[in-house]
Amino acid sequence: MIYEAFVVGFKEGFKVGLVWLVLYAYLNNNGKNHLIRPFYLGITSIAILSLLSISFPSACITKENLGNIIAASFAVLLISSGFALFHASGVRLFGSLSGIWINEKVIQVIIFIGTLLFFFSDSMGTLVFLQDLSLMKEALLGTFVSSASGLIAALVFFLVVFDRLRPLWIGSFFNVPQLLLFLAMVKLLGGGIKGFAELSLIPAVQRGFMKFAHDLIHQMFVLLMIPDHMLLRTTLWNFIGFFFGPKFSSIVSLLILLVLPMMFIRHSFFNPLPAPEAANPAYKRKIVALLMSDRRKKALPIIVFIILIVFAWFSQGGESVTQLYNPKPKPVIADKGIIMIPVKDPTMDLMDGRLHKFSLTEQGEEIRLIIIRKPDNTISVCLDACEICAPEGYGQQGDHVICIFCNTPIPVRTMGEPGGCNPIPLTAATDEQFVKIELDEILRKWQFVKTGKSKEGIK
Amino acid sequence: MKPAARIIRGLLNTLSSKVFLIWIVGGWITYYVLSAIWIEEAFAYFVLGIGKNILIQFMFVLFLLCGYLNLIRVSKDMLKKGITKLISWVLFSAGIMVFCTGFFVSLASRQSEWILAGEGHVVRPKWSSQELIVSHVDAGLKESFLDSGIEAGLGIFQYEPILTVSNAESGSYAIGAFPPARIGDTYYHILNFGIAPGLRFSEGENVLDEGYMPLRILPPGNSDFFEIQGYPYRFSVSLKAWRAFQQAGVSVNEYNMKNPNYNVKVFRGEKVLAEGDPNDGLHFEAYSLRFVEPTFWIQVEAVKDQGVMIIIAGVLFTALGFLSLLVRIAFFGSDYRRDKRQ
Amino acid sequence: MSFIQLTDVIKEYKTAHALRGVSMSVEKGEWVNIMGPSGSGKSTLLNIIGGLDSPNSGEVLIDSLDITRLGEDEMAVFRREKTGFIFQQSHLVPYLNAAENVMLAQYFHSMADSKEAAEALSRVGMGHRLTHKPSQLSGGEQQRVCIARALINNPGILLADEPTGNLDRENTKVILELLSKLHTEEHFTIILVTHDPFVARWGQRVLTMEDGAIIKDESPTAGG
Repeated sequence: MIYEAFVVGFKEGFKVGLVWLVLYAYLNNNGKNHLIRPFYLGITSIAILSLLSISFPSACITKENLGNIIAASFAVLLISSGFALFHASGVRLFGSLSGIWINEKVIQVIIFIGTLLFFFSDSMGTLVFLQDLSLMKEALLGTFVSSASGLIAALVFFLVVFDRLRPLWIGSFFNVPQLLLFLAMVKLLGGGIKGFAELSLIPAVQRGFMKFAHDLIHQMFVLLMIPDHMLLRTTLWNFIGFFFGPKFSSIVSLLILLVLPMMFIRHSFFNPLPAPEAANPAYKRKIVALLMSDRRKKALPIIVFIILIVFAWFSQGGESVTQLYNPKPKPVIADKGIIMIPVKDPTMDLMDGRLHKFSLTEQGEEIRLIIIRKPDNTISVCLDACEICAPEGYGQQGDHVICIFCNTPIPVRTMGEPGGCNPIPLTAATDEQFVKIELDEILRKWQFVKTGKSKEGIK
Repeated sequence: MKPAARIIRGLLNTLSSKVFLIWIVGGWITYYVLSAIWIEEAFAYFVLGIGKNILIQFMFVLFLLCGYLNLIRVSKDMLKKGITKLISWVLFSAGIMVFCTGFFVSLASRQSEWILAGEGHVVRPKWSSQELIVSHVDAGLKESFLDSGIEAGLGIFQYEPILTVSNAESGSYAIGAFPPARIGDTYYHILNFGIAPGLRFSEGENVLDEGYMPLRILPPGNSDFFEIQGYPYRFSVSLKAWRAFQQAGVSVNEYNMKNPNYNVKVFRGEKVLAEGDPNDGLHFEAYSLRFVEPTFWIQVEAVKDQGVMIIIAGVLFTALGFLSLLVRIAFFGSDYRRDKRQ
Repeated sequence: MSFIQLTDVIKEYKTAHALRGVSMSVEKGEWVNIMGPSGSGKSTLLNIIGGLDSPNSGEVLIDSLDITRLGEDEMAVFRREKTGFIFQQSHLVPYLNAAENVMLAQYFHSMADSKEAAEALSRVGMGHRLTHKPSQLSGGEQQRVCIARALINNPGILLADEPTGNLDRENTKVILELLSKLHTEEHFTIILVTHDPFVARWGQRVLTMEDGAIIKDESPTAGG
């Protein structure tokens, strides 16, 4: 039994079971039990497609893209839950097209396609992960059997729970907006396709939002002409430096993410209630009370989501944001104007996906280089500095390197592209044994770091 | 009603509707999030797009128009409910809209230039006819800087550097790091700062080259290098502590910042020809290098931007509106509670 | 079919027969008084109609609903929404004021509404004593609060068990006049249990019970 494969399989099964349970209970609550059929059809199609894709191991969709598709589906679900909430609170977003949703055929198609889209990327991502895992463990059958048993265990768990408890009452906690938000949260909390490393989407979402918060603050600084240069880190910096810190952007990103759930809460507790027309006040009061209790009921899953998000945010991502992998540079020397670094020696392996740093002392100063294997299996060689910031270098966090000076995350796959806060790329020749860099190239670019473009001013 | 008037009326009604605002904001969020998933620098592209891309500009203007029309519509409705609510609400929402307007104006119209200047230099951005002469650079550095290796370089300043510029017609102005000084229609502020030792390169008694060399060697610990055109030498420079001592078990380097000591290495190719402090003169082959009293160079950013004041106004409005909303809720309760009490 | 219809209702306690096959019917909007000596089964009958007690056998149809077949939860809903009770003792919560006592009934029914509670108290002539605690009210006033409380959820049936038992003649008259006024205006059904012939004269019908059975069903000779 391969434990990791079992967990990943269990996770996928758990997601299917959970979505099924909530959807079924919701439909049951609304007397539309038969609409669960397109969901079953969707799941069956996914299973067939997945089985087919096992027979084509060279999946045409990369892991990178699958991750992006999952992130995108989370975003789309989250945003559409917002739209649905507006719709539910009386804003006719579709104008005269609003009536289209009443058509049952349309709803059936939506459920079927929705199921396909919801689970396809996850199942493909899991398969790609399992293929990697089976290569690593050198046990193809074991991996897939383990994950299949995980999947089945989760499904059996749900069937037993359903059979014993008949928890159909949970349907009363959901309406269309809550249902969409629920699906988005399932993606967020269980959408990771990297096995143990990232079971949830939270780290990726965190990076994305933090990047946005950082860029926005940076842009504000530029617009308001607030200097963020280290030399001017005086009184002002003590204050504004806080805005660039990882803690601030982590909290800001969390708040941005929570805006929508908060809108749900506001809708549930503070939106004015419709005034029912009833002959006597007691009956009117009864209707209002029912409406209120229904709203409060529907706020419950949102409160649960908020608690889960906040908990996951701080437990999973918060820590890793502040912990950068920043290895000590290994000294290297130039021989006849060329620096040769072995791709693999007993102490290191440049292809291991981790950040490697080297230092070179030339003409009285230390120049640092960074080398990292990119997701496309090419090696990227850069200076440990960018064109903008003080050359404090980079640290690694997952599939990003982060500028230690200004905290900007740079995706590893974009390393080697010049400009902005990206590390300055170096031209290097790489073969199976060595990475070769010309000293002149390093010095030329290092001078660029030290002097900047505008140096040719006065003399 | 004439058909044209009817079309305009319909257009205004659409633009001022909540539905349209939700679609345009929701659409923008969807577009941004999706593009940020696939394009790494989505924000930079967006910012560039506002400056250049006509489609993005059009969409943004549409959003602004829709926002303002909605603001007017809701204010009208709200006026019926009472003036206090209207004021705090309008301050807040108008603040956000004004901020967005300023953001747009700034990105679409900003001109900026980085100018390196020392004493006696002329600062004149390319769009300006006004010449400013740098009459004084006040470095604001401490006399001496104690570096114990903790938070390197943060304490080199006594106060922030100040650049004094003057203009024959309008007098003199002080330019600091923040806030920017406004001279005419242009903002100026200091972006970067450094030391420029006076250097004298000579062969025997014969001075071959003389001038100030701007170097990035601050804070102490950084090093920079320069070359002199026509000669095969490369000079690597860093600041040198004039004394080092032990304090509470930590070794502290003390740097003289007003008239610093330097450590200069002279290279010819890979070979070190000489090393030392050129304050005392540094001799190599047939030449000598001497540093004399330094001056300071300053990198000034000049910006011509009509949006800055709008942005600041927007931020102020939003903050005031937010505060008054908070005060309202704290002292008068939310609308929900008020409605219930009636 | 009558609004309230009892058929062969039998209630036995371990030692005694409380009701021995009672059948009766009450029309909607009728005011029926039940008289009889102590232990004749009149309170038991009232409790069975109000869903506070259940018979050993027989049928109790209220608005065509057989309440003897209701489960625990359904019975609670029935009591909450269809019936209002007034007892001899006021059973007001001592630490809540008059308005809050009425709002408590609203709360258990649906949600509290202070405005509506104040209106209801005004209707029973207690509009000026909204914030008084029960201890600050006279017996008659307390009973008026109880009427407001019983009627706040528009119950349809008002069940009163010796509502004037603790009051002097003056206050009794005030309460009965109030009930009469509300009955005329709002047309709810009243079943009132009393052993006081003065009180019994106020309704449209008087049922007399003895030893667990109805022995007389008549219209009162004089009202007011």
